[in-house]
Amino acid sequence: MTMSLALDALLSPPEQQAFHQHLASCAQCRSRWLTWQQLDRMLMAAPLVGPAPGFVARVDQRLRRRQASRERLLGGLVLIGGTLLVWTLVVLSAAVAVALWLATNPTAQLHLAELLGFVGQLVALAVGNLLALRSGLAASAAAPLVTLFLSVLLVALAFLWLRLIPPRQTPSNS
Amino acid sequence: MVDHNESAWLEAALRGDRNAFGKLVQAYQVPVYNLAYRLLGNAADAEDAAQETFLKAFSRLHTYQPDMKFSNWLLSIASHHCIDRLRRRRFVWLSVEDDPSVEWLTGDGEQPDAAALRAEQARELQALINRLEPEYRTPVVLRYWYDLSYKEIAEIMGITEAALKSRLHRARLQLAEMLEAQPGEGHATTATVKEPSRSPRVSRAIAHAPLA
Repeated sequence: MTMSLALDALLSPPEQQAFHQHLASCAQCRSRWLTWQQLDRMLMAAPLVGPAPGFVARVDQRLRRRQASRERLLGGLVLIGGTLLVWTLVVLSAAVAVALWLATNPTAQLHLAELLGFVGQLVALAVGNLLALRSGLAASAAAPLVTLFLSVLLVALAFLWLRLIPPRQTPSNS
Repeated sequence: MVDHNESAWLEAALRGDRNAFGKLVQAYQVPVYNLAYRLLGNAADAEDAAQETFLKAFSRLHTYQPDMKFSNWLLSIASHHCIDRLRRRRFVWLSVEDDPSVEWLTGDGEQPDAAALRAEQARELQALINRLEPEYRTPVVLRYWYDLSYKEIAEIMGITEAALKSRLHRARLQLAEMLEAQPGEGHATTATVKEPSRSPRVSRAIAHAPLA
């Protein structure tokens, strides 16, 4: 590293003296020192290179484009956020209104209980069918015809079950 | 660390004034572009990197600390950006044919032969720099083209002075080896390297001590 520091004139006087004494006695280092000096002169001679004319305008144009792009992005986010907020308020308002309506109307509560029961039955039916189908497929993976038969049977059973559900009874208001 | 005009431009730019930022771009376009060109080795990449440096500077102006020179802050952004680009394109062929310094070098009063010689030397030099590892290019460029102290270069690169000394030494070692390996180069050509008429950018005393 001494040679590099010597080139930048950063050696102390004793270090510099020792460096030059070494150069006088070492042909290899002397040769390298000459190359380094040549390199130093070449680097010193190289000019500063500037951009083509109009650089400031090109930067400004790019800056303007980037700012416009950010503004568009920000506008889009505000729009999406606003829309979500409005819809959240609408859904919450509707939920509150339904809850209030149910709380003050016993007949509506009966309708709701019946509806929830029906939905529960449908969900249970669907889950049961899917589980049965999965088991059937696992058991008869090697027999495609059996799998097809079981699938058709399950669909038919599901259809019959839905048809056999007793019709809903409308509660009398009297 | 900033003069009055620069301080006013900076304050205005911080408020989003693009015209004021344009003054800063005008003032520092050459040093930033030159650094990008010397590190990346071609004009197209240098133009893009220099532009990107100023865009980054504009968006990060609020992070600028006045205890650092504004020019050094810009050079720091530029050098990190260029090193990132170099690492991403390790195996891209670097051409020195589009060297804009060739045009720059051919002054009106210069003889065509001398201009051609200097242009050729500029090409050779850039070709040598292009072959250096990215982390070795920056200290060489900042040392020779900007006349910065070791402390300032270390600050710009975000490394210690000891690490900088080591990198600069290794960079010079590699460059010297490449120079020696070139056909027809070596000490015999020392006489052909003309002592330049220095621009004001560099004024340091060169330690070309005579051999004992």
